[in-house]
Amino acid sequence: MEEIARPVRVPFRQPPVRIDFARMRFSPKKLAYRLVTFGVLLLIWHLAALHYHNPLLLPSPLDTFLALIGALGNVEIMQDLLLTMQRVLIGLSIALVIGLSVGFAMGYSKIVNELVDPIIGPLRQVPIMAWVPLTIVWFGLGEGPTLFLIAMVATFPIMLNAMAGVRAVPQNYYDAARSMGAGRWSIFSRITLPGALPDMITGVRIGLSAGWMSVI
Amino acid sequence: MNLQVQGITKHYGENGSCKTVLQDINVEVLGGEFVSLLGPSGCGKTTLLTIIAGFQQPCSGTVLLNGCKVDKPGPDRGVVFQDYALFPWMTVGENILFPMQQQKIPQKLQDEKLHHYLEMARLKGSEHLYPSQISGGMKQRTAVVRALASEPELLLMDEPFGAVDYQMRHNLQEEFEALWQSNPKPVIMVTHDVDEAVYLSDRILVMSTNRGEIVHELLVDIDRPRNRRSNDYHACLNKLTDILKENHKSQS
Repeated sequence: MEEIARPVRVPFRQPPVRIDFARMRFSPKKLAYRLVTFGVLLLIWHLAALHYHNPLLLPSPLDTFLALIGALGNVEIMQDLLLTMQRVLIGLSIALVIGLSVGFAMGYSKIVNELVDPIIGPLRQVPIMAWVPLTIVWFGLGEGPTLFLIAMVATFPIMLNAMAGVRAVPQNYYDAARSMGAGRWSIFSRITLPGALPDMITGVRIGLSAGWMSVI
Repeated sequence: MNLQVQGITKHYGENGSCKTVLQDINVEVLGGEFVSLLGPSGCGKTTLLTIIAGFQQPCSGTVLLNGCKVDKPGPDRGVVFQDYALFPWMTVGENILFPMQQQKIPQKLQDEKLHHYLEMARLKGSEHLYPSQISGGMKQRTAVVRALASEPELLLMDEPFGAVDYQMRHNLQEEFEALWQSNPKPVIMVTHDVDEAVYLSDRILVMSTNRGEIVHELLVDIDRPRNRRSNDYHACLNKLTDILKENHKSQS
């Protein structure tokens, strides 16, 4: 049925491939806006803390800041922080490997997609907390469950965005490349990969934040 | 160069709802001819071009290029797409280099050729720009020289001047004419624009509205580059318009 769709010209979107570095550059104006937001938040916080006047309910910004300084000097807390970062890194690496490879395969091949999709669909609907007892049974109480959970939540956004990215590369680009004599590897590395890159980056960003949030 | 299209038939659909898009098409293109496939939307002209390009397979019949059967895309047939299909993540220069890199041409020769093509398409100084940063005309010229850069036997163009306004289209056609004269290659162009066909073609193949056949063949014997205001030009334009009208009447 693929051939039927071909002569119909679908206006394809131009992938926003190049990242706009100009927008990321430092500017004094931007810094000022940030400071205003930050200042207003601190002020509200401070006023609220004054109102409740109870460090148990809402500690004031100053107390919190002092506690942070104290924590930075505390070796134990720093070690824990390092451990957390290490876990997130390992979990994300697993998610990247599985997510990108399966996502690419799903985007590339309809057969792979048909085979894998029925597993992916239900699996990603499982609430993350529901995995906790199971993973403790599987991996024991050590690193296992944490790594599994981080990898679990991060894999799906990475996978699905990679798949969407590969599918979004217009057929025209493949036709053009093949008519210029490009082989399989060349098409993958110079057409599919850069074409899917923007969506891939989006997936990795979502996966990264999801991974962080599931550390606890 | 010798292209033979023999008895090409193509239909789509299954389970009884079969639509014939091409019905026993026979075409021969020799030497440095510029041939246009002219017909209304949906007449199958683009399908025929994609079969010659090797992007899809006919249901029956064969395409022979210099005696060899065509069954997949290849650098012996350069394609200019309607929307140009320039790779947006590559600069103008990288786009033009792409076909040369695929053919593993030595680096030094690549540089020389790139220089030559940039000169030819008046793109000097723009080679480091991305397609999103250049005008429609520059995109079009980039697409044409990119198709030429694989040194094809034959150039296939799918409504290459379709996506722009009237005035721009005329400019592009004139630019292409100049470019083509400096680098003559056999061309098959798909178009629905009568004026465009007359301005550029040596031979015009008129396709039927819905039977998927070539119903008329018109030779255009006017000196190039053509003057759009000359009597010969207008006579040819009128003749072609009459053919299209008759064609439409006989089928409705």
